[in-house]
Amino acid sequence: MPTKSQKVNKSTNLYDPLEYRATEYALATYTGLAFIHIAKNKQDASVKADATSKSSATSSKKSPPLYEVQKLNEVYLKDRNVSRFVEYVEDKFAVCLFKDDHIYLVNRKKESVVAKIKNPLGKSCNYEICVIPNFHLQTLPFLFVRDDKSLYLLGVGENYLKLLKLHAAKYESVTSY
Amino acid sequence: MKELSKEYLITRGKYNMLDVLEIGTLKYVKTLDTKGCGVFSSISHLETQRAYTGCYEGNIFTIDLENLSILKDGGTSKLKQGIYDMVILPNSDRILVCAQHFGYLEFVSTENDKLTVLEGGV
Repeated sequence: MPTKSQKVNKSTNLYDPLEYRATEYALATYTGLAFIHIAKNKQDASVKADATSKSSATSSKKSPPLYEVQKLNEVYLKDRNVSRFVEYVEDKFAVCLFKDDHIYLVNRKKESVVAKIKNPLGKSCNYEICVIPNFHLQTLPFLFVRDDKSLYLLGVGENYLKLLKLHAAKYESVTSY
Repeated sequence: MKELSKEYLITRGKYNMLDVLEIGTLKYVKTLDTKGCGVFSSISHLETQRAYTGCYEGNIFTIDLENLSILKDGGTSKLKQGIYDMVILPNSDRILVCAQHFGYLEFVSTENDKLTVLEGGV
């Protein structure tokens, strides 16, 4: 499960399943966009309580870790090398793959890759993808994408899926690295 | 380049040190010495005026956002691999989760400005 993670679902939700998702995190891995669940170890509190009441023989036992990590079965773009991603609205991700000429939109509610947008400059190493200031899915649905060739605006609105080149890199990489 | 606070951002400068710039004007403010370590990731915790940066060798540095300085005593730590990204768990414990190269995840306590690697990393 190699790699880099980013926080998902920062906001608190009212709907129960999403409340659970507040403790889930997405990982960009060499084998796809994966998800983990991090929770405080429930045994921890009980062990501490036990430790105070029991003899020294039991207190010498190693206490369990404070947090537990559980890998979820949910994986998108399986076996692909995910280089960067951003959750631009709840459960919607824009995902970049290493040396690929598309950016993929993943919808967790639909449990699928719902769109892919072609990079007009071809395969690239994507270094950054982030939402623009004042991002709004209806009124200002754009992300910044930076790769080794250019800086782009990526439209992720329902009727506007497009990559717009903003500024070419001063020294473009021929080898895409 | 990463946003450090509402006023400042950091960018990797000469000799892998961190340059602090003003967000509004992009004016240079000061340089933070990371001892040659190339910083990959950072995250800020504005309530406590602290930022945490991770480098490709697994070092974490704590930045005091009030004084724009790197904390020395206990404010640095070394993990297994390069740190790609970090998140702060949304509870009062202020635990840093560091995602590293080769898939390591480690939990780091930031209590009292002392970075302590916790059990439970995977």
